[in-house]
Amino acid sequence: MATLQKKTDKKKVNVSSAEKYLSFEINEEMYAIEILDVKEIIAMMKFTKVPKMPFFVKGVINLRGLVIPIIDIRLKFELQELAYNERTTIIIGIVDENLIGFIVDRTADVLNISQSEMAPPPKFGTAIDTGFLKYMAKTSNGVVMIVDLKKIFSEAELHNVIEIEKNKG
Amino acid sequence: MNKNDRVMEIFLDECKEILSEIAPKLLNLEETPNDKHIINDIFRGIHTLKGNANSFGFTKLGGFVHYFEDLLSIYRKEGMVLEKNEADLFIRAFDIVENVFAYEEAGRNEYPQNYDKILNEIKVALAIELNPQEIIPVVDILEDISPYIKYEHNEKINIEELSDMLKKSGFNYEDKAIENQKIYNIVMNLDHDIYLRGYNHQIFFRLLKELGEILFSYYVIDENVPYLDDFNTEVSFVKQISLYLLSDADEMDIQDVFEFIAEEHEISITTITLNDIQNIMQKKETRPKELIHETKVIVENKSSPAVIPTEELFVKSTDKVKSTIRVESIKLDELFDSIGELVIAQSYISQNEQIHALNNNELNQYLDMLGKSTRLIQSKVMGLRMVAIKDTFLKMKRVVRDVSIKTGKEIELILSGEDTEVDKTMVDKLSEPLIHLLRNSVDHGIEPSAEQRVSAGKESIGNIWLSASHRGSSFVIEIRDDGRGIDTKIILQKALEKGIAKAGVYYTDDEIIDFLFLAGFSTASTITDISGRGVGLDAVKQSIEELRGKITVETEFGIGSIFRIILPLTLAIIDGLTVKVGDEVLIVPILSVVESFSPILSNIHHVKGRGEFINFRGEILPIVRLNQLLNLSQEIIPFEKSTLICIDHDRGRYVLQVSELTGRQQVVIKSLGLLSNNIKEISGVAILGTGHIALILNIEGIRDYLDSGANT
Repeated sequence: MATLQKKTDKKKVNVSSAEKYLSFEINEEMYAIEILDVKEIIAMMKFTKVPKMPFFVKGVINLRGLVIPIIDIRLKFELQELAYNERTTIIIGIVDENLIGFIVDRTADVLNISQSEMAPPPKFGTAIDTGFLKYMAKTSNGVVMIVDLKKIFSEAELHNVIEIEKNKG
Repeated sequence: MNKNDRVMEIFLDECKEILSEIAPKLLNLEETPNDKHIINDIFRGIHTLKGNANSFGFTKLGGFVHYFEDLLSIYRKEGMVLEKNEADLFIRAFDIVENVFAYEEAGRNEYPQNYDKILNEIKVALAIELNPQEIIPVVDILEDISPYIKYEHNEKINIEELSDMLKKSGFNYEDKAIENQKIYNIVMNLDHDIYLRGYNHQIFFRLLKELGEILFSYYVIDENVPYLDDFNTEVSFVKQISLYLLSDADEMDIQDVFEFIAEEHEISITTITLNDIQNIMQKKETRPKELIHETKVIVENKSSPAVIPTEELFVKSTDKVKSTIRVESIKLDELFDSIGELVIAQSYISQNEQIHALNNNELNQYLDMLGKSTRLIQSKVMGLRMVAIKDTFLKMKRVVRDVSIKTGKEIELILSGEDTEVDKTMVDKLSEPLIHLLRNSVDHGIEPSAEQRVSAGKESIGNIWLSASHRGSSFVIEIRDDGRGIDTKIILQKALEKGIAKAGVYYTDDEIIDFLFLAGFSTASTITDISGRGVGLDAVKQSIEELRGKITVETEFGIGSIFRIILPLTLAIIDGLTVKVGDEVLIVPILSVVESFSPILSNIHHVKGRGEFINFRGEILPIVRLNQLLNLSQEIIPFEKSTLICIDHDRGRYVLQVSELTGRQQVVIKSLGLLSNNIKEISGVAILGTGHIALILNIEGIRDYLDSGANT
C-alpha cells in the first residue's frame, strides 16, 4: 500500500481565507473535498476484486505500480449503485498518509470557497448520512457539501465496519 | 575472495553499522542523559559488538568493550542518574571503540592513543558506582593538568620540544627586547621528605618570577599516588619539576635562589642561549627529519606499547575499500514502482497490433531491444532489494564455531534453506537476533559436556539446525537444538525471585517461557562474553517485533528447543503459478504446489456436512473451491471443467479447484496495506505484466480455514 511521506505538512499552509475545493457529483448533488487532500484524478479503470471486504470497497487498482484500494462513495452513502460509465472518475485522495481511490459519478470544477460561505451541515433533509459532511457551502453555483474524507474512509472506519459485519455473520 | 574473508567482511560491515547507529544516539544521550531507551539501545549495540568482536578474535576491541558494557549496564538500571560528564565519558569511550575497531580492521597490532587512559577512567567510574565510598577519581584531577604531567623525564634538555613550545606561545626569538636574555632550564628533583625539610617549591617559583618570566613548567608525578584516604599531606608525590625561565639575569643569580639547598642532585640549572634555539629552529625548518633526536615520546600511561601520531588516528583501513552507496529503501520502492510502469508500457507497445502491422524490421529490432533491456532492468532492480539469507547464515556458522570453541562444546550447525530470498532490510536486522539466539542455543541449550549428552542417549556432538523458508505469507527462520530444552521450573523460580512472576499464581509452560523475553531476565549464573545478562532474548524479541514479526519457542525438557522467527513478507519475490478462477487471475506460490491434475469424477466424494474430498493416489484430501472461498462468483464451476492443484502443508495436503492454469512467473509480493488485516486467505497481491493486479493465495490461511471446519 502506498503511503505518502511528506505531502501532509502542506495542509497546514493556510494562505488565504478562500480555499480551493475539488467538486464532484454524486446522484446529481454537488460535493467537494479540500484540494490538498487530492493527489490526482483518474478515469475509472479496471480493478481487482478483493474478497471479504466491506461492500463499499470495490477492490484495488494499480496506479503506476502502487496498489490502491478503491471505494464507491455511492455505496458508502447508501445510494443506489450505478453502472460505471465514461464519466465515472476515481479521485485519488490522501487519508492519514494513505492513498485511497474514491469513485464518484463525475468530477466538476475546482471551487474557491471562503469561510464566510460555509455553514454547518444540515441535521436532516439530505440524501446521505450527514456524519460524512464537514460543512455546507452556498456558492454561486449552488449548494455544495464539503465531505470529510477521513469519515468516509479511514483505517479505523474500515475496521469498524468489518467488526460490524463479522458480528452480523 | 575466500569464504572466511567473506564472513569477515559481513562481520566488519555489521560492526560498522552498529557503530554508525550508536554514534548519533550517544549525542542524543548527552542531551537527554536519563532516557533509558537510548541507554538500552546503546547497550544492546555494544553488547552485540562485544559478542561479535570476541567471536572474530578482535580481543583488543572485545576487552575494551567489555568494560564499556559493564559501565553502560549500570546506567540501564532505573534510578541511576547519568551525569553530563559521564555521558561525555561514554562519547570518549566510544571514540576509542571506533579507533580500536579501525586498528583491528587494518590489522595493526597496537593500541590507539588514550586506550589505556579511557579504559582506566571507565574502570574508575565502575569502581565508584559499585563502591562509592572507596575510591576518589584520581583521573579527574590528573586530567586538567595532564599536558604538563609526565611520568618520566629525559635527562637531556629537549630543545626541539622547547622551541615548539616557544613557537606555540607566540614567542618571537628575534624580538630585540629579549636579545640579551637567556633561557634557563631548571630541574628540581624532589624527595618524598622535602616538606619536612621546609623545601617548598612554590617559594622558588615566586623568587624566580622576580628574575624573569617562567615560560612553562613540567611536573613529574609519582606513579603510585595513593587514594585520598591514604594520602599523606606531608609526603611529596611530585618527583620532579622542570621549568623554563626566560631571564636576563646571570646564572649566578639564579643559583642564589637555590642557595640553601644542600644536596646537589636536587637542583640542576642549564643555560640555553637564544642563539642555540635560533640555530636549532632554522635547522629544523630545513632538515626536519634529522632533528627528531632523542625525542623519546612520553606517554601518559606506560602500558601503552606505542604512541601513534595523531594524524594516523583518523586513518581507517584504506585497503580493499568496497564502494557502496546507502540508499533509503523508500527510494528503492519508488524505483521499483517506476520499473513496474516501464514494464507495462513496454509490454503494451510490444503487443500493439498497429505497430506490428507496420511490419518494419528496424522498428521490430528496436522493440526487441527495448524488451530485453526492460527485463534486464527489472531483474536488476528486483535483485537490489532481495538477497538470499545465505550470507547471514554463513556468518552464523562462524559465530557458532567460535562460541563452541569458547565453551568447549562440540557443535555441528546444519544449515538449510540458505537460498530463501528476503528483503535486504530484513536480512540486515536479522543477524543480530540470530547471533543472540545461536549463542543461547550453544551456551544454554546444548549440554555442558559430551558425557551428559551420551548418558541422555544422544550423540556426543551437539546439533543445531538453522533453517529458512517461505511459509504462506511468512518468512520463517528456525533455530533448533537437540540440547537440554528449557526447564520451566527453573525459569519460574527465577521469575519469582525477580518479582516478574507472582507466587501462588498458576502459569502455563508457555507463559513461563514468555518470561524469558522480558527485559532483564537472565538465568545464566555467570556473565560470560557469549551470552548472559538476559539482554539477549528481550533484544531479540524487540528486533523481531520491529520487523512486525513474532518469535515462538517450542521446547521439550531433555529433548531440545526450537526458536521460530516468523516474519511477514513485506516485499519478497515468489515463484508463482498463475491460475484463473472464472475471470479472476490468482497466484499460487509454486513452492507449495505438489502437482496439478484434471480430476477423475469418480474419485470425488461429497461428505455431508464436511465438504468435498478427492481420492488422490490413495490419500483423501479436502477440496477447496476457490471461487466460493473468495466470493469471486456465485457460479459453481463443474469439476469436469476445472483443474485441481494439490497443495502441500505441514498440517496436511489439500486441493484447490481452479478454472485453468495460465502460467508460471516470478512476482513481487505487495501488501494489501489497509485491507490486509481482513483476509487471511490472501497474503498479498502482485502486479502482473499486463498491469493487472492478481491476488496471491495464502496457503497457510486456507489451511486454517479448512481446519476451522468452514469448508462445507
